[in-house]
Amino acid sequence: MEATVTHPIPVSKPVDCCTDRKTYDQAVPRKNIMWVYIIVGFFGLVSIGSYAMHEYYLYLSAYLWFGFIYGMCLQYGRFCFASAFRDLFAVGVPRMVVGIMIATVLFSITSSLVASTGWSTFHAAPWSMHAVIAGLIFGIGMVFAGGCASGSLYKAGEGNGVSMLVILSISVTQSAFVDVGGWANKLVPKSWAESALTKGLPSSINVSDGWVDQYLAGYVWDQPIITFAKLLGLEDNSLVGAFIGNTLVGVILPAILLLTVVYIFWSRKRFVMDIKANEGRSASFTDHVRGFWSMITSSKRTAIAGLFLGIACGLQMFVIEGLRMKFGVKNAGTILQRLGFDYGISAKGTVFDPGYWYVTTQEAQWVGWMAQKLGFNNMDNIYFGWVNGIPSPAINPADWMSVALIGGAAVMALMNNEFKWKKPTRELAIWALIGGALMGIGSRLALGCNVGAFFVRTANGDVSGWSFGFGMIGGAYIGVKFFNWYTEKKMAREMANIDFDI
Amino acid sequence: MNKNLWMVIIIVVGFLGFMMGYSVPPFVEVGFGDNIDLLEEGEPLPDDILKQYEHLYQDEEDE
Repeated sequence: MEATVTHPIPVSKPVDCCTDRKTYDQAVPRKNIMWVYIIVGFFGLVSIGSYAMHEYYLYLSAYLWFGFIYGMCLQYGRFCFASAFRDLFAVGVPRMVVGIMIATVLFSITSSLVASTGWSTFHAAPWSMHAVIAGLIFGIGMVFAGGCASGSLYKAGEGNGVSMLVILSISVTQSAFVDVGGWANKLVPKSWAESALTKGLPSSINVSDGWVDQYLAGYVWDQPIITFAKLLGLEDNSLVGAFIGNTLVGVILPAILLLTVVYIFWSRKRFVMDIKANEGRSASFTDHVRGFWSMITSSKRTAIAGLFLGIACGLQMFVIEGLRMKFGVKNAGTILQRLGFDYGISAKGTVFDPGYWYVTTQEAQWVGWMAQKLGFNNMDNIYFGWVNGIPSPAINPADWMSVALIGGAAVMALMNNEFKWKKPTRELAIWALIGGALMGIGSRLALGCNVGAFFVRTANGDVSGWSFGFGMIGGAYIGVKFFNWYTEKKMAREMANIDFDI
Repeated sequence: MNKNLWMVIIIVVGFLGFMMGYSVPPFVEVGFGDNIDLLEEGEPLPDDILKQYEHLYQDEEDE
């Protein structure tokens, strides 16, 4: 029999689909606690050991510990964009959508604080319909896969085999997609090809060969970069621009609008029926305000996770920029070169170093690095060769963040007794691979996933963040409807095969 | 909250605090908001900074 700790600790378990978790006492096996300290100890040793080798490694450790915090928060709040929209569209439960909006608003406040100091690491993305289309593809993919890009990471930390397959699929698809050339070049519009040639990229990139290269240099880079502050004629890094333009107009008001729509279409009916049943009257305007507020506060756990996520995201921007100043660099590529690592550095001398929370690019990088080692040339495309590089995963700052995110989620899951190795079934594995592939393509078209293209951009007042978000919601809706149709068809087929002996 | 979670939080905050110790002083030196003391692009570097660059990591190279 397994040894357990003697004192009971509060552990949360889902009560049903529509209510928040309730706490009850359950002993956590000693083995879980031992693994918690092994994981934390490992990351601690990596940080201390690398720091002892050179203080530059502190830059990578910063990514590591913020990734660890994200993992803990995501697991604690069960923060998953796929679950959020699936629950909303399939069973009418808005809990997670509310949590995501709370986290976005809180992150926007902390990022505005950082932006108003003039030291934000955030760069807005080009805006056009491509963000909506990419979001649509991503949204369908995340519902098929059963988890978004960040959700799959934290679920992998819980021991979920399906999520591990999703991560693998996202990684491989992205790496392959950014290097597709040959026949795919015939699908490139002439205007993109011509525009790409005018960007003055070095010959090593070979911009005429590769669909994504010509899409980026010939189309995306030509699109305007718009933030809500700029739309109002304000500066992004001014106090008024950051708080009024990007946070109030760009995040808080749209979030209230979105939540009002969610309340009207999904929560109101239940609330009105409750009042009628309990008090025998119809709901007044005040009742609806109360109902709206109860929807917002329905999940304390998600809200708390959102609060800490928001704070950590803002703090990471601040810490990374401070370390860049301290070390006199603008990108981790310089740090890696000073440390003697020049393999996989881009033609610009850079590596992927967003300075904030990001998920998908580092996943593409480790596959890109592996493919390069196996003899494929991945450095002749813009994504790897010109912008992000493919440094070894062992010294890739963003990879440290993702690995630590999985570790942080595992620590939280172990402490809550929610860690369990789950082997994927064949059917779930197929859906994971298909969904992951769609998310990989969507991520590269949007230059980010549900975190990089939606959460971070929206919170920083980038208009393209909402564009991706609307596409993602639409995609999730299509995905849910498809799944409903598929499940009904499958059940009908199975029922037809049952031989009822009456 | 249980003591193990507190231990993990203390460890994480400890590392974050150490990193903040590195990242905050440069901000204080350079300034915030409208008071950022930065050179315009193309502007020549002041002599004292050039000297500082010359001596940057000189000790390590000497070793």
